Amino acid sequence: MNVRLNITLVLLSFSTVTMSSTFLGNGGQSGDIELTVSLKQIRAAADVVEERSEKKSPQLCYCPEEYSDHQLCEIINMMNVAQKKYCSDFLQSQFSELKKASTQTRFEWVDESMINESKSGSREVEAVAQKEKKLILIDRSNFLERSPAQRTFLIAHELFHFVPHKGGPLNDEDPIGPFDQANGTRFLLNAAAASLVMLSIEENVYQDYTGYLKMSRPHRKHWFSVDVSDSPLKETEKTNFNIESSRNFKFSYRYLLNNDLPWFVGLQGATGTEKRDLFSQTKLTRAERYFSYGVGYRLFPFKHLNILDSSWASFVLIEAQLEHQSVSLNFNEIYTDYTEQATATAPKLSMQYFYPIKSDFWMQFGVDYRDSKFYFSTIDYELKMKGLSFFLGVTYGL
Amino acid sequence: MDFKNRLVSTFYRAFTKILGASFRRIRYLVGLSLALVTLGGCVPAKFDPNINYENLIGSPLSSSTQLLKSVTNLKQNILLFDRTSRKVHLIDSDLTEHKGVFSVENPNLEHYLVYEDGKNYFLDISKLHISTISLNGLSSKSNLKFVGQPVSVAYAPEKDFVVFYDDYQTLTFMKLDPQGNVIDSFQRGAFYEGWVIQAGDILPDGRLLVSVKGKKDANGNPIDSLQIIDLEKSLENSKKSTSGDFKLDYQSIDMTVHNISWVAPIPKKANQVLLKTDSEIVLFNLDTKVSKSVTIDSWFVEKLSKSFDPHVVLRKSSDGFNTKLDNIERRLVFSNNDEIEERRSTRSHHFIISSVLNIDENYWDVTQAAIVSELYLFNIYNTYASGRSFARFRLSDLMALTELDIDDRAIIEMNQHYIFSLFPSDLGFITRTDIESQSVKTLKNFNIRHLKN
Repeated sequence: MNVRLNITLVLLSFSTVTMSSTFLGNGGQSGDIELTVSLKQIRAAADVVEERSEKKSPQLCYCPEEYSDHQLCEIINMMNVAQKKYCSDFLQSQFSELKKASTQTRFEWVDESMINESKSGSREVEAVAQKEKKLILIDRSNFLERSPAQRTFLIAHELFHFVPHKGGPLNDEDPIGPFDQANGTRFLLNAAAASLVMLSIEENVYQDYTGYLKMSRPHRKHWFSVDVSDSPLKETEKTNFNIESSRNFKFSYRYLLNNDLPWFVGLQGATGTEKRDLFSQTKLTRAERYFSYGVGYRLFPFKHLNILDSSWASFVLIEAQLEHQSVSLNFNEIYTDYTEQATATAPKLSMQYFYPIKSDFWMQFGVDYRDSKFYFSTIDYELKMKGLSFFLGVTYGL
Repeated sequence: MDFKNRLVSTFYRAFTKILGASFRRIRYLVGLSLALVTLGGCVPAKFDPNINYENLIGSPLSSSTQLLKSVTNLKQNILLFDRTSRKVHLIDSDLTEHKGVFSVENPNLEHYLVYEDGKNYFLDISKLHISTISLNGLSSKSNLKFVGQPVSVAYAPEKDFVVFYDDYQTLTFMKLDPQGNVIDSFQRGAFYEGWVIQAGDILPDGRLLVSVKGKKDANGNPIDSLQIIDLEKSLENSKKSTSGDFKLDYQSIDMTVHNISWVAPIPKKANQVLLKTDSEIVLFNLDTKVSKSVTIDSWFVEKLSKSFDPHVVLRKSSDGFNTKLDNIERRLVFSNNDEIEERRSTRSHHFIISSVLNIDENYWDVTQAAIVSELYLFNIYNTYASGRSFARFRLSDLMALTELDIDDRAIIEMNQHYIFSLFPSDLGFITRTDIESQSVKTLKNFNIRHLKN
């Protein structure tokens, strides 16, 4: 149920922990990368404005011909000549302030609908600039639903509220210059923000950052992993049944309990089968089956890096699980066959490092530690697993 | 079985299966053709106890089946040498239990077992050793020196007497205790006091009956003799001898026949023996010295068998490869109620590789093969032979009672009720086929405990 809240009342009376969270929180949050990319694009666009400003009568508020059907051009094309001139001058005069505001403003995510009370009435908004706090509140879900260009447009609009144009704040409802109708300032800021985005697209600086939007996000809730590892089984004495090496495949599902609390719960299954020839005509098949469940704790060793650095999102996961283990030996030949199974239940410790690839895919490698024994009584044969086994795999976060 | 023979056998089986026609007829024809092509390449091993010459003491090792005697109890111990694991298995004939497995000396050689149900030991023989192995697993290897290789054995289980004969005609007598340990023994050559041993066997009372030759009568005619050797008294003589050449204690019966190359005591008739000379089959009473005989004439001796009742199978044609194509006559010659009896048959058989006669139960069992690498004079189940089958005939009228195919891959052993087939399985696989009902019971995976090392 969507609850409409009065922004000014609600945000003062409720704790921000329950409905909002700070940008760049623990482990990164949903929206952090999108917001960072938008800010980078805004700064790059401001640099374009600066560069063009060195020319006489630069054209800044226009829609490039090759992008004439871009959605943001609708706003630009609504301006008349005078308004475009005013917009252009506005950008020329405010680009450095804009850049400053982009680095000095705080951002907070809001996970509820926001209602803005104003002279013209109440309306639902996607972002609110609180000038006195140098804070911009962003409705996270709406923000993420927008296209990348729209997101940058939105942030640029809100940042423009912090620039000291002609000595005063810019309020959306006020007329300004040739934008002399009600909400004229909003029209100007929208046009300026749209022009900024289109400039950066035209100059290809916008595109420099869109690639980051495909970064794998550590805040995903559901984690699906596949790993391959060496079998940890070893004989306790040298026998004819020895299988030198075999591969196991692990399938894991983990659930991130809370992004602020880096705990996972997880389920894991592993399986591996290896065959070898025995004597003249017998095939020995060793099958391993493991099922485990437990908890994991995640650490981010490179949080100090820039959020857009891929290592920033990488993390170490330490898990403790209870594992149910089953090993079966099957001897098969033309006349008869024989199978014996041994089982054990034992704790398992794991440590693995996840590194982001792209589009919520990760690669990981790590070690498991186990200490178990399996005894096959009929054939008087013992296998053990004691020590480390290494694995390597890929993960998808959802 | 070497690769070449295995290839022939495999090809033969596949070929007849594909055709799916009158199996026996086609099988024989194909087998015959293949045999003609391949037999030249089948060279018998140098040590081959499946010998074809007569003049043995006891039975050739290959015929030393433990099941020589007819048994009435259905549950008895069976011993089988497994050519896959190279161990000896002890099972019960009921096939409910694998009772034990025994490691052997020189496992890579062919092994022959001598055993009597109810005994606590068995004899294990290869070309390099003779051992007694108790069913508790303890083994003792004979420290007697063997120059030649053992070719035949005579065993009197009631007395725990064993006589070995090797290819140098060395006679070795061993007296065992109930656990199979050698208490006493002697060895000597076949020549003594002007006589030379031709053939023989051990009587149920433990005396050794041998046919001998070498002397002449007053007219200068050669004399053959039967001699009954008291082994225990001879053993005493051997202990007193310092030279190693000691006197055998014996009674001698001069015979009117010559070249007695096969001697077969009649079970349950301690005083009667069936003999084969170069021209006759003779039933001889050791006490009364009365003999009854039938002539061999030009008939070919196909089989000399002491299982269970001694008998001789004669065939009119010596050309084994024509056995199937012509209806050929066979004569089954045996002793019954103090007389020599015969049964004649004109039925064409495959090659008879084993013949077992049970007069009390009124049957004659024949194990046949479509392909053999050689025509064996004595009973042999498990040498190179392909397309084996078993047939039981009612002795009184030779009516066929049962026929069963035998898997080429199996090592078999038989008693009067069952055929035991041990397959070349790493894990262990034995079947028991009931001869009358043809039901099959299986015992498997008994090797699994022994595969680890």
